[in-house]
Amino acid sequence: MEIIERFEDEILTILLRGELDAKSSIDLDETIKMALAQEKTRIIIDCQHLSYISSAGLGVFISHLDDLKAYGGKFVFYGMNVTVYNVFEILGLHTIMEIVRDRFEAQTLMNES
Amino acid sequence: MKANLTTICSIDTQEEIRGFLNKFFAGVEDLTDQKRNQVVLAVDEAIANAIIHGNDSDTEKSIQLDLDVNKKRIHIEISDIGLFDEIMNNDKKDKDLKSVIKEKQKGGLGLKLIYSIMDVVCFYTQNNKSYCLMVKLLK
Repeated sequence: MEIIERFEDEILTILLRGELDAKSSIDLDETIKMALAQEKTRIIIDCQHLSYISSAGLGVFISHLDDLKAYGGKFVFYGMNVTVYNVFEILGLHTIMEIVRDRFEAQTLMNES
Repeated sequence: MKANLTTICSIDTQEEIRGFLNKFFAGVEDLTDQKRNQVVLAVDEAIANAIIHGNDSDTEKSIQLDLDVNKKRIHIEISDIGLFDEIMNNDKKDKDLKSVIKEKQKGGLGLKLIYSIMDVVCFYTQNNKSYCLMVKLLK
C-alpha cells in the first residue's frame, strides 16, 4: 500500500494506492494522526487507485471522524471503484461519509464547508 | 471443488491469502464479481480476527483455511481461531454504527461485515481447537 500526501490551498489530499487492510491501516492511521497534530483537518481521500478496503481501513476513518468535525474539518472521498464503495454500502457508511465521483466535486464539497 | 491453505499467524500474509481466495473463487460458477469480492472480504475479516485477537499475531502458530464449493453453496472453515472476545460476545455484529463512531472505535466492524455477507456464520470449539464456519449460498 502506498500513501501519498499533498497539501494545497489548506486541503490535505491523501492518495491511497493498493489494498487497505489490517496491516496498511496502521500506516494510514499514523498519517491521519500526524495531519490532525498539524491541524490539517480538511482531508480529501483520493481512492482512484484503492483496490480493496477491509474493516480495519474503515475503522481508521471512523475513529477520526468526530475529531475532524470538532476542528471544523471533514473527510471527502472520491474516485472509489465499485468494490470499495460496496464495502461502505454493506455497513451503511455511504450515508454517513461524504463520497463523490471526482476531484472537482470533492474540492467543491470541501470548499462549501 | 476443494482447496486448503495453512499460513502463519501474521497480518503480513493476508494479501497473499486474498490472492489465493480470488484465484480459487474465480472458478466458481454462479458467483458474480461483487459476491466474490464480498466473500473474500468476509474470509479476510475472519482471518484478521483469528490472527490479531485469537492468536496475538504469534508467528509460531498457524491458521488453517478449508474451502469446499458445490453447486449450492460455498463452505469455509478457519481454524484454530483462538478464543477471543468477539466469539464470546458476538453481539458486536449488531453494534450500531453511530455508537462505533461515537466511541471512536477502530475495531468492531469486521464481525458486522462477516454476518452481513455470509448466510451462515458459526463459531465452535472441538478438541481444544476453535473454528469459524461460514457458508454462502449460491442459489
